[in-house]
Amino acid sequence: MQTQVFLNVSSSDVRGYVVWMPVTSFGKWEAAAHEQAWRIPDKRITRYYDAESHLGNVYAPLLHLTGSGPAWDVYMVFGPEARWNAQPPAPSFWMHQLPARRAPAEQLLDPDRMTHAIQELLGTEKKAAELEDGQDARLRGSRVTAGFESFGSSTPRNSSPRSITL
Amino acid sequence: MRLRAHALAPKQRLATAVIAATLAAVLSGCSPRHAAWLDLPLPTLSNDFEPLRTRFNKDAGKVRVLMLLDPT
Repeated sequence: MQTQVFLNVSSSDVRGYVVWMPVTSFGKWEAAAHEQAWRIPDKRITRYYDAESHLGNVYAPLLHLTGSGPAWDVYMVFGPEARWNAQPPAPSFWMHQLPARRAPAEQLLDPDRMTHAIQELLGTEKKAAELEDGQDARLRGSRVTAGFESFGSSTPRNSSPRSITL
Repeated sequence: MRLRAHALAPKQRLATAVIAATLAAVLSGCSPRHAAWLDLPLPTLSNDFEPLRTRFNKDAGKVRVLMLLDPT
């Protein structure tokens, strides 16, 4: 799946992070993780190992997963403005490959929908940048009116991430 | 005209073998395996999720995809 999303989205404005967690694997997880890495040979992706599934345990309640156990087999998309402060940020969009008893079936992984969500967020950022650029150009080339200034203060670039509802 | 291997000159046979080996390597996907960066040790996350947290914030301005997976 990862390969498909990253092949579908060629933008250099996308980054991926794979966190391997030994949820079902025992023993030779590291060799397995390296083997998997060869299936995703994309330099936009960095890989990590979470031996105790700390990150999965933090995301399980954040994503409102039911049942026990960490969040794993989950794919989360974050907008350009997302920041990781004391706690990991909530995603703008996410999908999973978990059983229906743990997460909504309508959010079951669909690479096409994931790709679309990523492209939406890329498009949002691009439009915001274009708006800002357009505004800058007009500010440079003509008189500044109070109304225009107030429009400029609400450009969406600094607004909170747009949530994509499934 | 049919071209038989034994009819080739030694130099041509060598060139044919090299081309065949290269093609086989590329088609079998061996070529990308020379990417040494994929062989680097996996960084282990600390309790405060470093170095992922720093990397994530460094990449601000880009759309980011975080995947939590089991390798097996």
